[in-house]
Amino acid sequence: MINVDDLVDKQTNLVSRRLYVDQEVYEQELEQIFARCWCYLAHESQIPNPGDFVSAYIGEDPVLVVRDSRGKINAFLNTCRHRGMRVCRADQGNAAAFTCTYHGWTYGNDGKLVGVPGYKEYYYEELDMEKWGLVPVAQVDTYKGLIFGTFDPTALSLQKYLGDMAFYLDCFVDRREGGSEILGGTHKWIMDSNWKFAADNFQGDGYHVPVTHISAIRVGFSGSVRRPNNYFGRSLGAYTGNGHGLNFRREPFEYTAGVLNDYMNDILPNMEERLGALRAREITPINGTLFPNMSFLGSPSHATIRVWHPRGPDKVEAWSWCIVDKNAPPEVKEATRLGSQRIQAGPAATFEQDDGENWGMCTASSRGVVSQQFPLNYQLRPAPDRFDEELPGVISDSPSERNQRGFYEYWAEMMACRPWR
Amino acid sequence: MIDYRSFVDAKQGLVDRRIFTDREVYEMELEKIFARCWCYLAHESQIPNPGDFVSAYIGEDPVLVVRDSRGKINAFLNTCRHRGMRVCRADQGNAAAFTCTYHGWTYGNDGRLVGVPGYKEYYYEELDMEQWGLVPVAQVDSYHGFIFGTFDAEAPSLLDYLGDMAWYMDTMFNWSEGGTEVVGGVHKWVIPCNWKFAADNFQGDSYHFPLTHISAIKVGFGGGAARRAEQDTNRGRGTGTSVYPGFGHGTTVQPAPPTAGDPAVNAYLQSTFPQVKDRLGELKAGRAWNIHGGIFPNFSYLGAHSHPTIRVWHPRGPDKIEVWSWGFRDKAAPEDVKEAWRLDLIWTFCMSGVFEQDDGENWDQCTVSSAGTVGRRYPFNFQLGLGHERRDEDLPGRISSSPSETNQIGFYDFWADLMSSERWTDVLAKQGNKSKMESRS
Repeated sequence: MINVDDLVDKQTNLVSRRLYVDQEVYEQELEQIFARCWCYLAHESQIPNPGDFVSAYIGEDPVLVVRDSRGKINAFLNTCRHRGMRVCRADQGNAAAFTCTYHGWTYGNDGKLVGVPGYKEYYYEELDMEKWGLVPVAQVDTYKGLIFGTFDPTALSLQKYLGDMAFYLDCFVDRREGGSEILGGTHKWIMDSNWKFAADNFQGDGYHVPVTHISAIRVGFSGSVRRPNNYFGRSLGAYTGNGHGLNFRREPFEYTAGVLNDYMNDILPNMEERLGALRAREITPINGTLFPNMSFLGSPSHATIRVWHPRGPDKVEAWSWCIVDKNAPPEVKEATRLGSQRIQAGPAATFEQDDGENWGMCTASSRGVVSQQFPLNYQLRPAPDRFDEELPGVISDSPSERNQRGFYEYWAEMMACRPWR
Repeated sequence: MIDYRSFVDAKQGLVDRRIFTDREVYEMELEKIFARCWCYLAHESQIPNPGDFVSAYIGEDPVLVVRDSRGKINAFLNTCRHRGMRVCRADQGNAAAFTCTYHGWTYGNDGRLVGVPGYKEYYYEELDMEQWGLVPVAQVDSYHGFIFGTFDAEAPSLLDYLGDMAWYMDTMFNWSEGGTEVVGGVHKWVIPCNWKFAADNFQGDSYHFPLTHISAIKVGFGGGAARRAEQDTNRGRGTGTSVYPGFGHGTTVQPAPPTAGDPAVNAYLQSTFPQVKDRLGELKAGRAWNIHGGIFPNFSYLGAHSHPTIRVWHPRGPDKIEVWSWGFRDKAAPEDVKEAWRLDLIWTFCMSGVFEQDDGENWDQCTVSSAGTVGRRYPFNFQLGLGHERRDEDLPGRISSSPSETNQIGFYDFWADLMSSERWTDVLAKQGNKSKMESRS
C-alpha cells in the first residue's frame, strides 16, 4: 500500500502530482475508494416502472441498476457468473429477466439465477443455482430520487455519508413538489484526464471561471446568468465533510432567459414551504462534487449532474445528464436543456471544452519525472475554518480552495484504509 | 510471489478471473507457457520449395519459418543479432538470404550470418560470425504437415506433447491420401480480449453455440451441422462427445461425418466415406469425427467438413489478441467442393464472418467485466458436466457428453501446472500423477 501521507501534505496544502498519473495510486483508488464509497448510479426517474433498468459503473466495474418486478430498486455487477460476459448490453430498457448472450444463463430482475440451458441434461441438476445469482451491490439507497450504491457492506448509511451536503442538494433536486427528473438520455465522452482533476474542479473551483472561460463569457455564454460587476458577487463555498463540497450564491440569480426568472418567482412560495426561507431565497447551488466522482451544476439555467468514471490514471469517461424539476412546464425544461447543452453538458459545450483542455494538459504535464518533483498548490485563501450559524459545513468566500483541501484530505483518509467514521 | 496453482480449482470447477486481466500473470505466461510449449508456426504446404519462408509468432516473439536450400525446415527468432531489427519484414516469399534493412547484416536461409558490411574494414575481421547467427527455435517438428516449434530444448518431443490428441487429428487433417493443404494467405485481425477466452471457447465450448450464434443459425448460416446442433439442443441432447486427451488440448467428436450445408460437399463426404473408413479404420472414422478443438496453448481449428479454419490466438497483452487465421481443406477434393468450403468459411469464421463477430463480442466483454475491482473477486464457473467424465474402452482421453467443460477445466489445470513449475520434468510429473490417480479411481 502506498503511504498517502507523503502525497497529500495537510500542513502546507501541497498535493503530489503522482496522484494524477501513477498506476499504483490508481489501482489503490479502485480498491480503497471506488469499491468502498457510495457512488452515484442513476436517477429514479430513469426507471419508474417494474423491470426498468439502466446501465452504470462503480469505478471500472459495470453495474446494472434495475427496478424488480415487485418495485424494489436493485443494483448488480453486470457480469455473468459463468464466463463473465456482460449480462445486460443495453444502456436502458425494461426486462423481466436478463439472458447472457454467451451461453444463455438467465437472471431475474431481482438478480436470481432463474435459467440455465441444459440444467438437467448437462449439469445433471447439480449446479447450485442459489449460489450463482448476480453479485449484488452491497448497499443501495436513494436520496430524493438520486440512487447510490456501495460495494462495502460496512460503509456508513447513505444519509450519514451525504451528511450536510443533503441540506444543499435539496435546493435543486427537491425544491418543489414532484422533485426532479432526468431529461433525455446520457451524454458520454472521454477525456485524457485523471478523474480527480474533474472532481476537484467541480468541488469548488470558482477561481478558474473568469480566466479559463473568458472567451465564452465575452461572447455572452456566461452561464445564462447575469454576472455581478465584481464577478464572484456573494458566492460562498461550503465543505460539508466526507470529501463533499459545493459553491453557492447567497442570493438568487438573474437569468438571461426570462422564462426562468418567471418560473423561479412562481415556485418561490412552494420552495419556501418545502425548504424554508433561507434555502428558498438565499441559496442557489452553483457547482459541487459528492465524493468521489459525482458532480453537479445546480442553476436551473444549465443544470447537470454527472459522474467522472475512472478509466486508468490518465483517462476519464464522463457520463452527464440534464436535470430539471419534474413538474416544471415544458418551456422551462427546454430552457434548462438548451442552457446545459450550450454551456456544460456534452463534449461540444463551450465551457466543457475549456475544462477538458485544462485537465488533459494538467495530467500530461504531471507525467514528467521532473514535473513530479513539484507538488500542486492548494493554498488559495488559507484561513482558519469558519462556521456559520445558519449554513452547515465549513464556509469560505469564493474563490477559495477550502473545498478541494477537504476533498484531498478525505481522499487520503480513504486511501489509507482507515475504518469508516 | 503469486501462487498460480491457486487460481485454478479443477475439483470444484472454479477459475479465478485474475488470470484473464492481470499484467503480472500475463508476463509470466509469456515465460512459462509461450517460451516453453510447442506453438503452431505454419503449414508445410505454405513453404513447399527450398528458400520458401513465412512469418510467424511464438507469443510476442516474431519468428521466421523457412525451408533452407537443402530442403530442411528451420525456424528462427526474426530479429537481427546486431541491433534487433526484424531481418525479414515480408509475410511470405522465397529467399536464399535475409539482409537486415538497418545495417545490412545478412543471414542465410539456414540462419547463419553470412554477410557483414565492413567485416574487414570496420570489424578488423575480429567479429566471430559463427556466434552471431539467427537465434534458432530450439525444437522444430511437424505432424500431418503442421509445423510446430518450441523455444525450450527440454520440452518433450512434439509427438509426446500432442499425446492422444494426435490420434484425433486424423479425422480433421488426414482423411485422404492427399492430406491437408492450407489455402490463400493469412487473415489477421485484433480482438480486445484475453487469449484464453478464445482458446477455451474452441477447446470444447459447444454450450455457447445455439445461444451466441442463434441469429446466424436462424437465417441459415452454418449449414446442416449448425441446424442439427440447434435441434439437438432443443431436444436436450448433446452435440457429440468432449474429449480431453491431456496436456491442455481438447476436442469434440461425433459419430460420423456431419452434414454440411452445401450439396456438393455432402455428396463428396458421403461418396468418399468408405475410403476414409479404410484409411482411418472403423473406430476412428465411425466414432471420432473431429468437429473442433485446440492444441495448447493457442492453436485452434474448426469444421473440416463445412468451414475449415485453423488459427492462432497471438497474445498481445492481457487484454488483446491478434488472430491469424487460415482456411484449409482436403487436398484431394474436387474444385467445386473446395470453393464451397472457401465461401462457407468467409461467411462464417473470418473477421467479418457472422459467427466470428458473435464470439469476439462475447470475449471482449468477458475481458472488460473481469477487470473490475469487485468483479474480479468472483471466480468463473466450469462445473458443466463436472464429475460425469468417464473413460471409454476404445476412445483415448477423458470422455464426457458434449456440451461439458471437461476440456476447458483440463486446459486451465494444465495452464496452472505449467505456470507453477520451473521445469518440464515437474510439469510431466504433476500431470502424470493426476492421470495415475484418475485411473485408480
